[in-house]
Amino acid sequence: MKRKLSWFLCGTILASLLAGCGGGDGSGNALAGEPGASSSDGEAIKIGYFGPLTGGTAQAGQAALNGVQIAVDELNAGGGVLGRQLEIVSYDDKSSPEEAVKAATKLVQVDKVNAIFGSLHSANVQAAGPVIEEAQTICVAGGTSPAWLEQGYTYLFRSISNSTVSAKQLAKYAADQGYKKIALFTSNDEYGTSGSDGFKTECEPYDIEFVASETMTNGDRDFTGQFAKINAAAPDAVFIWCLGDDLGAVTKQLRQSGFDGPILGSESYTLPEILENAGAATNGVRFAAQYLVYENPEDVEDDNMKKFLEAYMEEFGSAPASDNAFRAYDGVMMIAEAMEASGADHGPELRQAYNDIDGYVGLAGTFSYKGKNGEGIESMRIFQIQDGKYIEAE
Amino acid sequence: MFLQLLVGGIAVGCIYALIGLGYSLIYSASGLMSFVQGEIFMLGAYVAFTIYVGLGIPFLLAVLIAIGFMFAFGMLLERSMISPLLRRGSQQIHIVLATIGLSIFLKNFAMILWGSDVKNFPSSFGENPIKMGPISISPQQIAIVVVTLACMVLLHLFMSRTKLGTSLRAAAQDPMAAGVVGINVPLTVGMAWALAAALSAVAGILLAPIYGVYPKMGAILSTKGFAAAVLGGYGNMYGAIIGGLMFGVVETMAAGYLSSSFKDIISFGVLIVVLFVMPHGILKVKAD
Repeated sequence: MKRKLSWFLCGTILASLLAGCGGGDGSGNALAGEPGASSSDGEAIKIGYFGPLTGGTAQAGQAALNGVQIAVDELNAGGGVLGRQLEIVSYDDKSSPEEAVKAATKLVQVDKVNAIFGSLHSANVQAAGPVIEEAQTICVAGGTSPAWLEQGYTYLFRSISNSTVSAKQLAKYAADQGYKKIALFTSNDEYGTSGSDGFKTECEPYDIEFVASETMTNGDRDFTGQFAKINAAAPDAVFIWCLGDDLGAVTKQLRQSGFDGPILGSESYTLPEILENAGAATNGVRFAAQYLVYENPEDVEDDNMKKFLEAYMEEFGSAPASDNAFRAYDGVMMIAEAMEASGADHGPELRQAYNDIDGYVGLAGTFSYKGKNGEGIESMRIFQIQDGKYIEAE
Repeated sequence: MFLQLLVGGIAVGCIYALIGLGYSLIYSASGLMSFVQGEIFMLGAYVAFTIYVGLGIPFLLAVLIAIGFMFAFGMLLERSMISPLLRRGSQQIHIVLATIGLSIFLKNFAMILWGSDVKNFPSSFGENPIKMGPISISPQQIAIVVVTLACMVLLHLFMSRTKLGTSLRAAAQDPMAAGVVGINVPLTVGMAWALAAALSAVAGILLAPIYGVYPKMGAILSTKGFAAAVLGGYGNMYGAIIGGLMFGVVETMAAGYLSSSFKDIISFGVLIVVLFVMPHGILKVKAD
């Protein structure tokens, strides 16, 4: 009996040890922007980051953290902000709202950061909102769902257009192209629901009918039933709104199911990973986006973007895997802008200064935050995928 | 639409059946439950991906090497982990725990070795769907059905016509009596684990061009393969096939006619109802 018990214990311990390996908890990781560089006046300014660094969207999260790093390096090289150097404190939120709350709490209460960039997932920003608001720490986020800025938070800002802008442009495009019957295929989470609701609202002025509305769960890989229903409805176009890690499989299976018409998609189609996974299936995908994810700085016309990409490639050896690098860079640069403008490094004064940003030209375009509840930009372009390349749709 | 759903459901069901067969084979040969089948499915896809895409070896050869590799992996798993544990007096629950531990280990191992992003496994049968009247089928779906049927026929012939297959069935029925008449029982048990691993690997390779290859791909499938085995009668080879096909068709029909959000609720609901009416599953468990 004793022997059996000891084996059982061994097994349990082994299993829990192995389970432990699976997670890798979000241990704080303070990276000094410039090792050894001492701040000329008092302590360094701490920029907090939380976002997915493991799991399905880890690539996007890592790109965002890299974007923060490029901004911090650039600022430090130019003498810092308010005469002080900047440093990054980063945590992994594992794409989960629960982890996001833990990460944000740690950033504002333990590390006492001056400002935050994070997260990329709207649900995570929403979950962390109360903690950030209470700590009076400004947080610039990259999530595109309009919902979290509609809650009345005053310390949250967005460094990209929200998804309604994208929906508005796509609805107009669909009407211009004469699509009358559209089928919806969305993920059944906050991202997908707000994406499809926004699109439906924006389509109201036009003569567009929704012939099917199907959903999927993030991570599922069998859409046979949903696509049979969509194909049976014979739509002119299919509207797809799911997270980047599902998008490749979704697009591929939709094409394999026999639909060869146009696809109207979310801005996640800018991920080069999707082009690689879905290959020719992405032909004919249209999406609205702020910017493209360039593989080569030579292709870029915009000077700001070119400078950023060159710095990024020099530091990390390759182009960003996701446009979240741009969102993060813009966010941190604007935080620095607000600090310089007001002389404040935290709290209500910094919030006011950030809110007063008007006409700042970043990678995404021109930002103006005044009187817009945290929204800073409202323009996008329509792109089309053709033979593995992005071209601007006419 | 009905035909389209039926065809799609059968194709998915075939995959569940292949994985379910693995669970049933292991149970009927050794009376044990293995929870590492999903990760073997994932590993099979990764090994084939590495050999085919990474090393550029021709598709068929790459697949055969990958299946052979996973067959050996299954045998090694039984010989070096399960059998020593049993010899030291481990109970069923310890084996369950050990296989769960191994599955977590393999998932993280794959993440470190190949990364967590989705790898594209090009379909060797072409990407363009074939249209037949109102339905359209992708060449990969046809391959899934044909290969699964072939596997089942081969397995049936192996079990009923060959000496090794007969000794496997004998060892499953009564290990002691089988040992007395000169059957190498440890070899046949190892064989069952190896076959189960090879079948899961086949399923993984068949599904890779549709799902893409990534560390978590086995997690969803292992639950459904397990459900297929339970539905058909845990431990019964033919039951796993019926269970897998039924589960796939019900699930797809539910997504098509009812609501895609309730797909899993309905298919697992059917599982519970069937088990309530027929507690042993559709086919009674016998060593087959």
